[in-house]
Amino acid sequence: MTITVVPDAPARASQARRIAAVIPGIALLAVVGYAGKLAEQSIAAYGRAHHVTLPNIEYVLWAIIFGLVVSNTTGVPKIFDAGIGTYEFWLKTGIVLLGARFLLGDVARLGGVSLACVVLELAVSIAVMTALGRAFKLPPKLTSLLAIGASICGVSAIIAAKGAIEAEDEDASYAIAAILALGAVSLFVFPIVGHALAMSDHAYGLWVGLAVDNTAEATAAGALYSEAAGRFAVLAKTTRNATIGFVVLGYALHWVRQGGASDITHKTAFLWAKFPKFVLGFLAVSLLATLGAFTRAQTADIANLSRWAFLFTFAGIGLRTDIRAMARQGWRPLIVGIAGECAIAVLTLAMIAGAAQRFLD
Amino acid sequence: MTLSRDWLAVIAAAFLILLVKLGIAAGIPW
Repeated sequence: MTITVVPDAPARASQARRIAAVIPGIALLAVVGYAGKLAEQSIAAYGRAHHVTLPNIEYVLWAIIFGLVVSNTTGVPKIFDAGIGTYEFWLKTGIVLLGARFLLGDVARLGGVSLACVVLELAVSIAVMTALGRAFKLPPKLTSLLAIGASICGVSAIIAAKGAIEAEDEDASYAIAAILALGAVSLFVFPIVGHALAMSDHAYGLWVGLAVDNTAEATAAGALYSEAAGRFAVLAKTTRNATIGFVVLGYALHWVRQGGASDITHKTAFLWAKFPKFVLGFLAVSLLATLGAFTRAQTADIANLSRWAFLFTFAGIGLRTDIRAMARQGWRPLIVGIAGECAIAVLTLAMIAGAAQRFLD
Repeated sequence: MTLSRDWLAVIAAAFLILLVKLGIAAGIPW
C-alpha cells in the first residue's frame, strides 16, 4: 500500500478522511492487544500469589487468541477493517525497533565453536523443515514460514518473513501457534533431558539456545537448569536472532525469483521494489546498538516500544485470521511442526555432544 | 511523492528512537 502526499486542498481532505478511517480499527487493535498483555500478567500474578507454577503463556499468544475469538464468533464490523489493516505497519516498526536488542557483536562473543553450531543449526533446521513440508505437501509459503520459525527465532522471524515474502495471514497464525505451543512443551522436556544426560551448563545452554525457537522460552528453559546455562542459552539465542535479517532476506529473494522471473527486464529494480526496506532499518538500528549508540536504559525503552508495536501486530493477526481457512490446511502443518522440532532437538543435541567432547568444558 | 509502508515504518521507528535518544520518551513501561 502507498500513501500519497500531495499539497492541494481536496487531496488533503481525502488524506484526513483516510486517517480518520483507520482510527476505529487501531483502537480495536489496542484493546485486543492490551487484553492479551493483561491476561499474561494476571495469570503470572495469580501463580505468584498462590505459589503455584503456571505455564507462562505469552501476551503474543493471548492477543492472537482474543483476536481469533472476536473475528470468528461475533465477526468484525466493516468500520474496523481499515485500521486492522495497519497491523503490518506496526509489525515493521516493531522489527526496526527490535534491532536495538540485537548486537551484531554478540556473534563474536560467542566464539568460533558456538558460531559454527549456530550456522549448522540454521542449515539443518531449514533443510529438515523444507523436506518435511514438501513430504507433507504443505503450501510452499507455509513451509518457508515454518522453516524460518524453526531455524531462527520463532515469532519475530515468522512475522518478519510474513511481511517479506507476502505470506497469507492464516499461514502466519498457524506457524506462530505451532512454534509457541511447541515452545511451551520444551520448557518441561529440555531440563529433564539435560539432567538425564548430566550435561554441562555450557553444553545445555547452547543446546537450548539452538533448539528452542522463541526467545522467552529459550531463556526460561536455560534458566530452569542453572543461571550459567541461562546465560549461554541467551547468547546462543541472540546469535540466532542476529541472523534474522539475512535468512529473511534469503527467503525474500527466493520468493521474488519464484514470483515472476521470466519477464523482468530490470532485475535490480524489481528486486529493490520487492526488497523489504524495513530489514535495512532493522540492520541500521542493530549497527547503531553495536556501535554503542544506546545506553542500557535507552535500549530497554526501545525494546519496550517494540513490544507495544508487536502488541498491535498480534491483535491484528488474530483479528484477520479465518479459522475455517486454517482448518482447510488440516493436520499436516502441525505434524510437520512437531516432527521437525523433534528432529532439530535431537540433531542439535548430537551436534553439541560431539562439540562438547572436543571443545566445551 | 509516494511512500511505501516499509519506509513509513522505518521513519516511524527512527522518530521513536530519536524521542528516546533526546530523552523526551524515557522510562517506557511494559
